[in-house]
Amino acid sequence: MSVFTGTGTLFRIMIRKERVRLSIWIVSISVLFLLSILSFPETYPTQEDRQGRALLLESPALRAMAGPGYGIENYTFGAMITNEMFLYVAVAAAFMSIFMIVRNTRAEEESGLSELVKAGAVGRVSMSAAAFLLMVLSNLFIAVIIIIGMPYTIEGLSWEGASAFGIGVAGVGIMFGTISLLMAQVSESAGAASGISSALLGLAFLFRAVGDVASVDAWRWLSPIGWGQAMRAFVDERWWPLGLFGGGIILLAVAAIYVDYRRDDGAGVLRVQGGKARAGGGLTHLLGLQSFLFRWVFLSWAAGAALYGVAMGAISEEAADFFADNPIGEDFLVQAEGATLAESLFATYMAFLAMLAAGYALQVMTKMLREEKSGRGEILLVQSVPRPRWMLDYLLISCVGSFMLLVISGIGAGALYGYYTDSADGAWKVFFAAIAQTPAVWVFVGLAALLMGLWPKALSLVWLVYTAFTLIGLIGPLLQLPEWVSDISPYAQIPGVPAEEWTVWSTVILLAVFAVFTVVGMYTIRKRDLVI
Amino acid sequence: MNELVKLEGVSKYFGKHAALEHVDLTIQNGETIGFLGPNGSGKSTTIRVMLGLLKKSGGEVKLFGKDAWTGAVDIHKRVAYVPGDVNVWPNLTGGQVIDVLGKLHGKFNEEKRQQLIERFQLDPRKKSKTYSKGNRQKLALITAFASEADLYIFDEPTSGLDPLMASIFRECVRELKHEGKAVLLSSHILAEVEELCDRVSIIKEGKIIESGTLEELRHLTRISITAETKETVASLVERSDVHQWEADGSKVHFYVDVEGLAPVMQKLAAAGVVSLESRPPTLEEIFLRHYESKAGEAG
Ligand SMILES: Nc1ncnc2c1ncn2[C@@H]1O[C@H](COP(=O)(O)OP(=O)(O)OP(=O)(O)O)[C@@H](O)[C@H]1O
Ligand SMILES: [Mg+2]
Repeated sequence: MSVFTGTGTLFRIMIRKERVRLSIWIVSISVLFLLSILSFPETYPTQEDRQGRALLLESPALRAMAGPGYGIENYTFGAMITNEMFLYVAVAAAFMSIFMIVRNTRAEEESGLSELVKAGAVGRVSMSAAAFLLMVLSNLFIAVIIIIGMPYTIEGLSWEGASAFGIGVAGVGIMFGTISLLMAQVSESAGAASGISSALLGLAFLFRAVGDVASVDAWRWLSPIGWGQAMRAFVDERWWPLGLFGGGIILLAVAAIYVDYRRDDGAGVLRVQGGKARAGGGLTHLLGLQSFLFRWVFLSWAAGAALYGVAMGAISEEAADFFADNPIGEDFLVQAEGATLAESLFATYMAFLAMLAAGYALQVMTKMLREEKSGRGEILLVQSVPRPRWMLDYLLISCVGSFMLLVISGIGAGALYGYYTDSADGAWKVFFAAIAQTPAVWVFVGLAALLMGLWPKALSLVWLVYTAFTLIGLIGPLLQLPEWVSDISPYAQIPGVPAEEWTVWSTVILLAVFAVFTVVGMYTIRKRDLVI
Repeated sequence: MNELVKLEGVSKYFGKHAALEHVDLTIQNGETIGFLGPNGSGKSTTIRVMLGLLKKSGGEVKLFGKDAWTGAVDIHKRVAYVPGDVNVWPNLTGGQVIDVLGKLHGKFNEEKRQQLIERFQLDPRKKSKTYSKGNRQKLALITAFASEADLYIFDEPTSGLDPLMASIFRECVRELKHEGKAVLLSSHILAEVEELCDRVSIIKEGKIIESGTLEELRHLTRISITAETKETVASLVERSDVHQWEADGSKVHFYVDVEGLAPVMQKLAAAGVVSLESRPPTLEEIFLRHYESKAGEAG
């Protein structure tokens, strides 16, 4: 029996299992991309408009978040798309590949399913091989849709450019899929495999950002995303970066297959040897334990909040100019008498920031129910932990944590804005606008606590409410919904600082709602059955 | 008062479904109680009602003289509990989990902790997510045995343990008994219950159907008779207290209810008994009889 026996059968099983999920990924990435460029000719009818847009790429902050700036002298639609969108389409393809690979290799092993499969007439590395094939195929699918679709979407886009774009996207996707295939072999858990792969993707993003901002080629070459951009789609296409992709992919794939061949089922190479045999003092009280369990959740949201804050501050001036030229965009902005455009812009940013912080807060609160359902809640509670005390920790971690996210983001945005405008007052205003969102975020926490006490089975409703209010906040102004609909949202209760005046009473009312919800939740959680 | 646990007429409904109906159960100081019953009969539910994790729908539940629901937190201080399905935090090591749970519980014996880790052959440095079911169960067992408590509650504690570890578990329970602690042991392993428990309660479809010492259970139930007689005793099969009649020539085998033993013996003697073997039923026979549905039971 060869080590590849059964690859074809496994491949067919995988397709069956993945057909819905993978189709959604493939279609979302390729079709959404095509849809999003559909409006470009209307938005930028003349060469002058496009050159105006190209100016944005002069700013380091935007260059870090977009492309390398090839072809900005003559900013055609093709150059615009490559500079501003390639990055994101490629990153999406990379995520699709990473998750798909890990789902079908290490995660299967973790759940013990692969044991059944490998016990059958299946070669040692057939699972990896089948997953690899499916991953390559999915990326090629995306490439084909893009290559065929782009010239139809915008007139005048060349086949050659579309090919460079599409193949570049597939190259990045396959590259990271292969990286995760290797990671799935060496690490012992699915979480670690996708975590390490995603971190490498983040590094690749960062390296090319540094390369693009400082125009240093060495950094760009460190990043597979940079290789894709170096194909210079629609500017002057170059094909030799394909050699880098090919070489890298083959090397990594061979390494992954080799490790898979050598190791035991279920084992890894990066075996976590010798963890701690004892719990330190911090862990052995309840809040310490819960904080420890949430530390990565918080840190990753904090990194996001910091990035968002810095980005807000960095692009505020340019973005204000941009909106000044684009009246359509103003629908999104908080309108207020006598406010500067930058202030309106910040007021809008802050509403988004509140959504981000509420997302973290709800992730913490809803974890509580999952703990209860999994039996980890039960085993804690019988160590003579009163139920309200148990809930209190989640409340603290989500309230204090979300407040800290607002502070972190506010410091980033305020400091940069103050630096650009040389105004301490401006910096303070922006910072204050960030922390002024706190009560709106906490109302969601309160709602979660209330449901946890009264009706735990319906806890996931908080996500529905959150999504509804977030959507209303995002696109409500465009949908021209009746005013009362957007008015019941907690976000809407916070005045649009810094564009509008801050008011004490709105904060007090929201905090009162939060307090009532929380107290009722803590009281009623003592009165109900544990969800087991 | 040395009655640690007292359940009286306890019922528990999940919606319309009655998981427990009029359950009575007592545990005296120093007693080890076996709690048996088929899958889904209500053992775990009873335990959770006792621990105030589920709210009773009716009846009275008292532990250490306190109401199980309102006094749950105080009660937990005096109870060590090992759930049937042990789930812990995947990213903590086994040693960390034991410490976390032990310290939260309060009275935690460090010395015992070390000894138990060695006895149960647990590697405390491994992350919990890499533990097998049995090893996760060991975590909870070590925590419970190292905690000072008056009542130890085990819900199917050996379902994931290998035979060697199961015997170490039994050893640890014997030590608890020796210290005069009370134990409630829910289990499907009959030998374990037979070896450890002073009294047994059998629950079926939410009702306690049998309860008493093993001796009582044996003698209050049917007795197995194998006999060889000169004349036929076939008429015995008519009796309502004779069950599972099997005849093979002059040899017969059947069970008889205790009340019917005397008349049946007279009948056998009258028929000229050649050989007679009577024994109380094994625990297994008792269980299987109770576990089988009413429909499947002969006579
Ligand atoms: N949270 C719940 N919601 C609804 N029904 C439940 C719930 N918990 C238990 N039940 C039902 O109550 C009955 C008793 O369940 P329980 O878990 O107590 O059985 P058990 O005796 O412990 O069984 P096993 O030997 O399989 O562990 C079952 O019919 C079960 O379906
Ligand atoms: Mg059970």
